Amino acid sequence: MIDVSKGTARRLVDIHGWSAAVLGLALYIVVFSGAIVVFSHEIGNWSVSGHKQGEGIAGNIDAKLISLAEQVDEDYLEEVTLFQNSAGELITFFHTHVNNDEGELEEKGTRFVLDPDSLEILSRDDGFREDMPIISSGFLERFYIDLHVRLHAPGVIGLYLTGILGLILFVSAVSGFILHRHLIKDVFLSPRLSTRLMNTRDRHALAGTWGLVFSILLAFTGAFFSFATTLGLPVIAITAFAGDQHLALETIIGIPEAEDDTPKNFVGLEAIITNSQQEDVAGSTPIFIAVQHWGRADSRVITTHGPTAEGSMFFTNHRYDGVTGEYLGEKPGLGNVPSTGSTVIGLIGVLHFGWFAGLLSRIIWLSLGLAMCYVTLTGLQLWVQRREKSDTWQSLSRFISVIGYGLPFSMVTAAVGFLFSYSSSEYDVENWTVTGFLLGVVLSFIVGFVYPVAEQREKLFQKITGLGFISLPIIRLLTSEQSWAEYSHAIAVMSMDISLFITGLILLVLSTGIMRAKRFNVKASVETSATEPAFEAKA
Amino acid sequence: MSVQLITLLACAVSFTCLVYLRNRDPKRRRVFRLAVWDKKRYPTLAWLLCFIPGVVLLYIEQYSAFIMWLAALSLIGWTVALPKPKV
Repeated sequence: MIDVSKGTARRLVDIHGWSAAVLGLALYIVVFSGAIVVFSHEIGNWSVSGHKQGEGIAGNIDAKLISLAEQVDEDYLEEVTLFQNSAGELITFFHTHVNNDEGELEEKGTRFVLDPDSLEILSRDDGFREDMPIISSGFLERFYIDLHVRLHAPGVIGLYLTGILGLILFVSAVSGFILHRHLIKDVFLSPRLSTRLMNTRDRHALAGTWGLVFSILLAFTGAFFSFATTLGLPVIAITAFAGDQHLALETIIGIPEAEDDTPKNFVGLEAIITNSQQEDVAGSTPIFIAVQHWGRADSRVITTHGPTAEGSMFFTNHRYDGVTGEYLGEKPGLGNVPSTGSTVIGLIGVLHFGWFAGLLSRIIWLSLGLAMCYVTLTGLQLWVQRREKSDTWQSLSRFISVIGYGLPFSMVTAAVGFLFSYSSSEYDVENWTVTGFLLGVVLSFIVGFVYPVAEQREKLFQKITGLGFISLPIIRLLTSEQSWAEYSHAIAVMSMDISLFITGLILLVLSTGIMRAKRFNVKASVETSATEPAFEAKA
Repeated sequence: MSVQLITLLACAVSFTCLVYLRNRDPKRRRVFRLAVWDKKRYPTLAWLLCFIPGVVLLYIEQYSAFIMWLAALSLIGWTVALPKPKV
């Protein structure tokens, strides 16, 4: 596409190939799990069979919250958060901000998990937020999200890792764009069947070409989210605020108003939520509520609303007076007044999460993620096929199928572990979900090393993963002890069941080899002659 | 009209244009030994028409639909180009 010298092209080939060869499989894990967590809310709801019904956050919650406020340490009224998880449970956290043993500022307080219908306290935990036990009802969803966001690595290390992988994807996409000299000419070139190598190259180039723009966008936005707080904020603090991170954070989030600790009764949330649901305010039920300085004259309530299919495509925040309930206007994501920076941040979220327009945008974003996985895996296959004589690189081909199929399989076994443990003992949910995932990983490696022939290996992976997908709705039905007909009100649960079943069937059909590409021609036909892409010849 | 419907409509227009372009693509025809397309091709017009839904969506301020259409376009293009032509 862009004319570069031979030396530059060779260096770009090295960057494009080696970065993917070294980190491609880790990148695949992040991208695949990212594609799946576009439906995290539905996964969370499905995993508990949508059993928690009730008005939840939009119900009569004031009396309960006031009674909870009386049960906690007075310091914890500094900030109160409230949200409803995918399982439907209400989670409220009364907390303050104090330094932990390492000297880092952390949230410390009391967390209640409430039944959305009866508002009965399901659990109460005290202490630092990071030390609190997991909320079992949302754990499967959390497990998948953490796999995408931090690869389950501790602290900021995970964010750095995924941030670096985002940059690797960015570099690969840009270098691929520069290297592919016939980007426009080959845009409708179906993968040729002359040789396996040519076929893989064409499959990789075609998918990469069409997915180029969104690969770059998703890579950049993903890297931004990983680095924004871990690296971006300290750098901004050092460069613009003389190292004062608190001042930097206050400026970015919005400098708080003057404090007034005169005791005043908290107005309650019900009227505020009703107000925020009006079309001229947010037009939807808040997904998150934060109350600052509960029971003081300077109390403020911020309601956060998610994007809606027919409304705003951004997350929006609205401010209310915590004493009078008066609407104080919309609060931008950054700072106190609307700005270009705030819009850009909002747009980055829109482009990365794909939640901005309901089901259709989620389906498209899931498909984009899977298409990027395809580009990553075909790129790795191409790298290995070009090094057919190297035993070292041939061993990588096993890893490609072990990770390629092993990841979805392990995510399925994690879900199996979750379903069984959630129905029998909620306290073991974390252990069994993780154990399920690790068992899936071990099984994948066993299959990878027992079956040396790629075709056999892949067929077996397709079979076991397909059976795994089909087993999920069955296990969920058995463990939830309810018939399928009882879920007619829970659209997400029914849709997930059907989707999992169909995915499983597709994999089983694929495992029969019916859809496998026709044999490659041994003779190189005219297909190979015309215009060989530049990097094919150079590599 | 809902955002979803507008998006699907825009995708349908672009899909039609891409199928038209694919079937007349000279390299694809040459590589798979199809007969040379000897009639008029109008590739520029077809590409313009392919992107017109995006311009219209921006003009009528349907930004959600525009982003979805743009993202879907990359998937539609890929799935249109992927199948081997029937020789």
